[in-house]
Amino acid sequence: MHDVGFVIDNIVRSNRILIKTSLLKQIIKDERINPQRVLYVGNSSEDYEAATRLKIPFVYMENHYLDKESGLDLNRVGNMFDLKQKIQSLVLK
Amino acid sequence: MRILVTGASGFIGSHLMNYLSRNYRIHGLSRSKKSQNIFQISLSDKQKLAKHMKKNKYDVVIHLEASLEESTPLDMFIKNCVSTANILECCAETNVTKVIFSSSQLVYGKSEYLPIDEDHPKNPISNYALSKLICEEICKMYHNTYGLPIQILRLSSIYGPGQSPKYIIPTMMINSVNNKDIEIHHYKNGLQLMDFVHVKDVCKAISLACKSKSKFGIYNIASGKPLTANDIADKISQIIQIHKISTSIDREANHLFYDISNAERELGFKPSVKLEKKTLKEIYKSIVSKM
Repeated sequence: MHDVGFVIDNIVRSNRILIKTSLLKQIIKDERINPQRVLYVGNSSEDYEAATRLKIPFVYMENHYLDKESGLDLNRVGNMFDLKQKIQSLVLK
Repeated sequence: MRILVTGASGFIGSHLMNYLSRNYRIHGLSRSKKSQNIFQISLSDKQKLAKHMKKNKYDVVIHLEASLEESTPLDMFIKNCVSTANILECCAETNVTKVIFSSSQLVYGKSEYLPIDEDHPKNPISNYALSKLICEEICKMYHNTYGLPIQILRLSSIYGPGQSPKYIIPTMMINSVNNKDIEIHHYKNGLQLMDFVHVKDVCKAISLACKSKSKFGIYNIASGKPLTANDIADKISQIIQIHKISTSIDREANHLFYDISNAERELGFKPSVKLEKKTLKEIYKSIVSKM
């Protein structure tokens, strides 16, 4: 379990991005992972922003319960099978 | 060890002069002479500065002096950046063995993640913050060119007795003493995260940097603990009756607190003064004594 170490409200979008980015950064630091070897799979524009800030490749998992992000140039997948294939193609790169 | 402190009459400078004079031979430079071991020499007068430094043969130079005033970019550049280059030039000429440069948390600008570490992107917002970042680059130039050993300390929001009334803690106290409201909404309704470090801990960090064997380093000097303006107001309310007002405003907060693990690991820095009743009482006394 990772803890961001601070408390801020998650009503404001900029705070949500800050929380996600901080958590992602903390995991990378604690686990001593090379950010180039990380793939972030998320389902919101905040996830995309967090990955972009840390220069981590991002895959957008579309779902039926959140608004579909449009206008962003995203690596999109719609189900787990597509995700598996996407990861395999990215690993092979 | 002979130490020279620039900005010796300022808030940090005056505390540092007291702190270091227990163990070292200290001289200070200042725009205004306030004691026997403080010399009134302008850092823009390189000739006079070089003459003084050649005569006194310092081992360590702690460069604190900077202008915070809003002025023209050229004025800010001359007061902060040219002065820094002048002092570094003199350090290189007189074989100073260690330079400590006091930079600022403001070089980071808006936080992209928390806690902010030394690798966080630098997006300074004000001319002052930009001048500090330029000074850091000038430090790198002198280290790369002459091998001058330099430690850069990025100082967080500092508090302690004797601080100018324009900063948050003295402002809150002065307003309370004068039965005025504390306007919390300046800090995102009091919820904005901030990082306050006591001036004694800053002095300790500088002293540790003086003894560091590292040839070049950049360190965050902070408490590493996030606090909100509401937290501070609540702590102040333990010693003075305060009137808080909080108005809803639609402004994005810039939450700030710092990762100090590099300073802990490499300098042995561990902040020990907590922002609590006893510490605030000291500040309160110094404010009341000047009113």
